[in-house]
Amino acid sequence: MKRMLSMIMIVSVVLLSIVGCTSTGQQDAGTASGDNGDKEKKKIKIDMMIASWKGGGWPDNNHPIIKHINEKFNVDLQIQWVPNANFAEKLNVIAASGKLPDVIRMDSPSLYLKWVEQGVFLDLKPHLAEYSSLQNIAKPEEWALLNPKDQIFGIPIYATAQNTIYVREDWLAKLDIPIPTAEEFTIDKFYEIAKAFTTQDPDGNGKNDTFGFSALGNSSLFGIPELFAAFGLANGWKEEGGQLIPMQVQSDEWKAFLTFMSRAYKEGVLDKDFITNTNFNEKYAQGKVGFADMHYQFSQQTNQQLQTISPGADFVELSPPMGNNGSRGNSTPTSGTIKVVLSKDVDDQKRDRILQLFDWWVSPEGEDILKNGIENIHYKKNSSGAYEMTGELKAEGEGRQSLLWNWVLRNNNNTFNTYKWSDPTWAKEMEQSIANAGKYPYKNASDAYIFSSRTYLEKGSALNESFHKTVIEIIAGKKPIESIDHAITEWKSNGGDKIIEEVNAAFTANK
Amino acid sequence: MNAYWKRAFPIYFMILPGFLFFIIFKYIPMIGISIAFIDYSPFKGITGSEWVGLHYFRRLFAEGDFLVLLKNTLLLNLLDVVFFFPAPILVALLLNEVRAKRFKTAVQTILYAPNFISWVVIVGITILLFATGSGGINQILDNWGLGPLELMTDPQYFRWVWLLQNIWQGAGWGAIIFLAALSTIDPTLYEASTMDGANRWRQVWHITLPGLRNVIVIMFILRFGHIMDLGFEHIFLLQNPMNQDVSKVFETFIYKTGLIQGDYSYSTAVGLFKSVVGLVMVWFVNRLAKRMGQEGVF
Amino acid sequence: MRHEKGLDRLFTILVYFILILAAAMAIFPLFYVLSVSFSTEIEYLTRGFFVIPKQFTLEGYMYLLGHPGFTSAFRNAVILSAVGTALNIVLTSLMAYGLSKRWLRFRSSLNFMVFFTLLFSGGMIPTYLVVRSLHLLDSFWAIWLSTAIAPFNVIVMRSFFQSMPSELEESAKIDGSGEWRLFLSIIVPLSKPVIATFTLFYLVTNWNTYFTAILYLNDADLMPLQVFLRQMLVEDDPTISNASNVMYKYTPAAKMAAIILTALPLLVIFPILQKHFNKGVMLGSVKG
Repeated sequence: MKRMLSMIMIVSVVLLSIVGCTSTGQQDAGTASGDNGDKEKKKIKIDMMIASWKGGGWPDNNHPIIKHINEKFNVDLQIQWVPNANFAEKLNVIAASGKLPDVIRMDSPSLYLKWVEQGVFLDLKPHLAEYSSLQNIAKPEEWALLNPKDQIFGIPIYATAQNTIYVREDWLAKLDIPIPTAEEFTIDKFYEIAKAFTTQDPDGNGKNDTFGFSALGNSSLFGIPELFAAFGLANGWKEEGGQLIPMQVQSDEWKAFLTFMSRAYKEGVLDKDFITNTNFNEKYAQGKVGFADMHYQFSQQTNQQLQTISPGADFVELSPPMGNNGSRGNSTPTSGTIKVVLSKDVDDQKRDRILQLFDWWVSPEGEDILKNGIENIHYKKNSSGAYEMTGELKAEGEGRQSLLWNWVLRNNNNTFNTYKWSDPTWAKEMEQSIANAGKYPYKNASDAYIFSSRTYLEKGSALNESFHKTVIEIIAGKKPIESIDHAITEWKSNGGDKIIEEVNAAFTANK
Repeated sequence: MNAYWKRAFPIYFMILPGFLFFIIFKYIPMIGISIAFIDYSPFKGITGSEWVGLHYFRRLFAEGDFLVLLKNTLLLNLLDVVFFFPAPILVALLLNEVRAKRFKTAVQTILYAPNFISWVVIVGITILLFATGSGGINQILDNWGLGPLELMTDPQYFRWVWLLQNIWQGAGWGAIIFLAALSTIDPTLYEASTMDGANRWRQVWHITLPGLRNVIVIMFILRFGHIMDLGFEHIFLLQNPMNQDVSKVFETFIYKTGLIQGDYSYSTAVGLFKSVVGLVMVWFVNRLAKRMGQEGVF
Repeated sequence: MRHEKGLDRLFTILVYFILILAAAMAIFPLFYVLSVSFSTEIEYLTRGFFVIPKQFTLEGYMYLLGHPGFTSAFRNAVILSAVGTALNIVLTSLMAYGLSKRWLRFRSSLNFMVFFTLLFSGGMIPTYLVVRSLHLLDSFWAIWLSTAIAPFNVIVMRSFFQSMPSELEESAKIDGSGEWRLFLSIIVPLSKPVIATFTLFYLVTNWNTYFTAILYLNDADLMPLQVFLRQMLVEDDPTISNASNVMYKYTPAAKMAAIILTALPLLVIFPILQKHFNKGVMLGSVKG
């Protein structure tokens, strides 16, 4: 005890003396330049903090596209790329230091809501009318999403359905099964074909090593939401009779779905590894699975890999399978749950400059530069007059020039992954496949309200996790199908009922 | 200036830079512990946020999963203390008995290397071998008609997989500190005992192990400071819906409920709770060690 | 080599047997990593677990060595580790040596001060604020200074110094030579194995710097190797594909080659340092 006391004394004496020495203020000078001349001409520094994904951001802020922007708008664009896994941590730490970056992309709706309440973002509503291109990238309800009435704190990021079910066309041909049309493609048909893929050796290697479809046991909706849609289960939540209903309480739908899935597991139609799978990329490229959940670009990449192993292998697009009561869907994200925000500390002049920049950014001219890059650096015209990637971009990787477009802000065109040099058939098919996926919307009705539920924020993930566990156990044949009812009761009584109540309160309040 | 200060002055001077480091980078930030007792908002700061007292601790103890988290955490740590802790000592003792220098360097380097293979890769390889359907070893078992060994999904294996991977990755690395301690043993002791006719086994028991005692005791005491801590990444990668009843621990819990939503007060409260338990355990083990005539850590 | 008696011979055989077994178990998965780094993607996809690649390719290594991001990250890691470790080892050994003096007043309070930080920390937000108020952000100094001493290492190193024979100190006292001379010309040379050990500990920690770099550095071109490595190994969550529509791929060979190249410097340096801590110091000869 004595030594603890003396330690505390030593520490506090030194602490006091240090605090005394350093507390003489030191404030960042902020934007320098005492020039009071033409305000439009003043160079403005803009800090952006953006989450980076696989491959990371650009190595420095001298990228040709950034240089182009700097010159065009007389700004000094400073982008901080933070790996997505650590983004929230770093953002919180920076927030604690009292000065947010000027522009932030908020990928987490719950943090967005929390910080809107704290009033740290700039209200864009009074200024938007001046910037028509920017205003047109989203519908009014998408601008309003997650915002208080009459205020808009973030620019909504456009999101669209892309994924659907794909099938190995070469396998179908081998087994003499015609490609099912949208009307024919029922969930029973899906199972019948999947079973044939499992038992009739579609890759012709004489081994019983293929299966119908795979799944990601650790991800929401198993990474294959079309199956949930076919059984009428909600994509999280659905609206019915003016009420929002969570998927967890849909007892009958669950039983039908689980019967289907557990049979698939037992018969080897469902990948036996589905619980430990973390991604589909390798599964599909290995050529052992017949149905896939992917989007067009993913399918093209997979086909390329597949064909090095077995020539002729080809994944082609299908409609989502149709359930017995006609329900079907491709998971459709809600545009505007991800926002780009401006810090409230941004002064008027800087705010105008940023909004001018963004207004140009989403215009056709800006899109051209931000998506395709700079001519003669990222792409060039070849002798026949068509565009092609330069060697440098090829070495860096196609798409690496579009980071500002795809990771920061983009407009609502469905061409975000087609470039000037893209094969025209490819580009057309890509756009078509996005249009197709949009035909069967399958939305989470709670996206705007779920984060208003305090119980959900505190207990939601733990509740869903233990519910999810029962689902997996039933599929893997460890528990009978009826045990889902027990899981439903547990989910409801441990906080689920409260979540339903709170989410519906937010829902009705907003109507 | 009296004799003590004359002698001690240079010593204090040696300690000074380290002392300043601890004050500036460890003790000033300790103010942050108070985040556990307030409803912390980064914009209001520590002084501006509302005081909520023990609210977050009550919330933690009231969590439906609290006892499960506690049990899993303690069990995994217990396994680790019992099976992992002695592994590096054993490796060091074995290496110490090797006279062939090249062999020793080679084996030691090989055993040390897994420390640089990240958990993503280690878990990835394990899944590659033991995935229920496509795992290499499971396919062999299947060919022999032994059925799949559901190593990654059956909850009964989880703790052992975790433990074995820990040993695989860390035993060689952990041996280094004990090898360093072995180097401080006076070699004349061995010479004398050989002349007395003692065999190798007796030398290990009567010279080598006592020579390591100090370090072993210190490492053991310090280990108890982390009796509530587990590496997040390793467990998180091994976790799946099937094994979550035995694999959920405070780190994964906090990741899912607190960190993602920026709920710093709650994460801080959980961290503080773990530290206090660690402190109590260390204090207890430290006293035990002192009572047994060992030098403690404080 | 002198002839061993029966029991001792058995003992030796047992020791070698266990070590060979352990090494075999350790090397097996490592071999896989190495093999994949030299193999083609097709082989990786089709063969599952394998140890010898059928088709040998250097593509993964060529890709990395030609990648400007990798070379700059490597350079940063070298600078971070070299300077950081030097600072670590000087500060830690001075402090640990000072605290090993049993006669020192306030010693146990200071020891407790060090120990306490092993368990309790203020967390990253206040530490960040301290680093920021010292104007260290966006420079390596932020990392060097904020991680200058690991309390664990002070405690363990102190116990090493404590186990040194007290005659050393007595003799120095009689000589009338000062504490600094005692430390520099007697203790340090005698403690080479210990210093080598902690140099390795710090070196590995510094080499693995990830989170502090993310936190304190903003410039992408200051990022060290682990940041680069993680950005390669991370799998984008397939269920949030809308957040990142850039389909970007590294071949498995490139990923594994990155792991090998990242670990290589530490694997090379190990036998060099190991020589020191396996040697065994003739404390006895000093005493005599």
